[in-house]
Amino acid sequence: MVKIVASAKDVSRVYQPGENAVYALNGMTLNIEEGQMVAVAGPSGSGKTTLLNMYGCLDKPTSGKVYVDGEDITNMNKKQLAHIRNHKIGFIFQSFHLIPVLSAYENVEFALQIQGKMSPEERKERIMPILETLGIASLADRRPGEMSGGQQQRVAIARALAKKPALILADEPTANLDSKTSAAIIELMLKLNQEGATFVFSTHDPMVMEAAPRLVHVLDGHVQSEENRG
Amino acid sequence: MFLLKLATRNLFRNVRRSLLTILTVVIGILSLVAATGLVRGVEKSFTDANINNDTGHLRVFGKGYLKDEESLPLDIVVSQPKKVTTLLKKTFPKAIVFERIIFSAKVSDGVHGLNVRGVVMPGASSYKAFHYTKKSQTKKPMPNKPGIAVIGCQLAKTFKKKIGDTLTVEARTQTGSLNAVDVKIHDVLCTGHQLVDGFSLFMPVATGRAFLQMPKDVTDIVVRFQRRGQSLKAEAMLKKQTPKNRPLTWQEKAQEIIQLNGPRRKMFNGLLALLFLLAAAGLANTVVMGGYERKGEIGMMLAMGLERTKIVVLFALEAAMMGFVGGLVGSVLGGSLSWYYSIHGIDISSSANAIGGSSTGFSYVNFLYFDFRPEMMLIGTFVGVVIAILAAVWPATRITRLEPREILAGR
Repeated sequence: MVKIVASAKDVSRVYQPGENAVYALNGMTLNIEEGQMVAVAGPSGSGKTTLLNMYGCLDKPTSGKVYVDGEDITNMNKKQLAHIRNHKIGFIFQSFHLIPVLSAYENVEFALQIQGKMSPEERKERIMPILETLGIASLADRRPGEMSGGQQQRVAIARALAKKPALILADEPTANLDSKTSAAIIELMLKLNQEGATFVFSTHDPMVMEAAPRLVHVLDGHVQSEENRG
Repeated sequence: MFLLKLATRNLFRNVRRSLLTILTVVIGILSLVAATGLVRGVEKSFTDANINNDTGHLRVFGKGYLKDEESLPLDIVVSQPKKVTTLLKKTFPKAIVFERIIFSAKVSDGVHGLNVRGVVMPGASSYKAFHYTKKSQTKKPMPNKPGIAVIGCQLAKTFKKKIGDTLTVEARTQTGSLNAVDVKIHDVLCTGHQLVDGFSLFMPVATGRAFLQMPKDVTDIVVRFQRRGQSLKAEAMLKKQTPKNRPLTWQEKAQEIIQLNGPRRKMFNGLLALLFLLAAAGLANTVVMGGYERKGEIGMMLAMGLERTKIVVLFALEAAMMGFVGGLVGSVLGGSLSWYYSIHGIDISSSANAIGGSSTGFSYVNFLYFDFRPEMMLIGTFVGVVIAILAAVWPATRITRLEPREILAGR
């Protein structure tokens, strides 16, 4: 049986309600199944980032329902949402958002320290294999300022993976990378997807759109079309 | 623990800014520790100067004397002085106890006159109590001889007199009639206490009692204990056993000095409040600047599920560390200053004279010693940390109120 890890049901998100209302999402319905790699594409203002914010518990719908790993987050308070983000969601940001005063290893470790359950030894056992998979184990002691953009994005991916989240959300993960590095990052994400990680990312990048097993086109806050290549 | 590590590293992101912020705390805490040492030192200097040169640890007056103290009345006298003296000597065998008559007098050299405080007292015990022997020119106690007097060195300077010269003393007797006597200056005292040095004339009992026509009465009894804390026990005893008298301990006198020092304390407190405000503003500014520079990181942390309170704690830790370093350095510098001046003192004799002699609070002493208390360094460091945390919490709370999606969207 297929497990749905994230689901938006007839979701609308309205900014500035009233005569000048702006519909960031307008009746959006989209389910993300476990193990999928979904690219959400569309022009600026089409609702990609808002949809990711909904799945990421960073925003709540004006109407409709959002479920993450089976839990209805629509009426959760900020503390409950933070708990879901902490335990079930991994984030990869366009501009990486690594902490410059921490090494690559410490940046990844930071995500686990926020969860606060593991001993330093357990964290090391969790992190080092991920860094090796991503090909950055030798950079573990380097700080972000001493790494290239691609290497920094790998650290950000490692940080998202370390928590073993139900869902990894990536907002335009290749936007700040050159084409060669972008290709390497996409390949890496595909590999991780094959190993079981569930990815949803927003993108403008044709290379990413082409590589994604499932491509969803959004326009004016709802799904316009989708392609399944898996 | 990971917040502490992160906070420590964050301090080194912008070293210059951190150092400048720490500097504002250093200045605030240095001022706190040094000013506290100075203010307490002023009070202690005045108190010690009085104890060591004029009042001892306890004085006993007749009831009502203190209300009229400024006019130095001769008609309000100690009740049963012999009983009081005997009682004190019996209970505190090592204490020095002696009787005095303090009166208002005018000293003249035939051309100029000056109102002074006359003191009739036994030379041997009073010199012992106040260590006047070391402070006098002859290095010997005042003998109980008629026709002699001892004067302060400033008074001698005013009249350009030396040992062996003569002065005329005018005063009203106990019955109110005017009297005058020529006295030969037997000795000159230089104590550093300006009331003694500049405005006092001492007469031995033989001269004074005859001059004031007071064969038995005394206006106060002075006690110098072996341990200054004994004054309270003596006070309680005298209140019970000689209720017609009014004992005045050095502690009570010190309270008067603290009250007199009130405006100076307020001035220092105001100055300190201003310095703390500046330090707090510097810290708050550092937190605000750091917060806005690290907005993306904060958004990321919130997105990853770090609780808002922990981000406030992160900023508070950074501020607390700056407050600790600033507080510690400020305390050490302020403490060193207090310690140095508690030993060497500041010579204020010239400025005290320049600003009006005994009419000013400072004029009682020629040297001002700071009161160095090591615990003030601990308190200073603690205050530095507390102020830093208080200054950081509000801006940090404001930063974390932002929604992570807005921060990450660059708004």
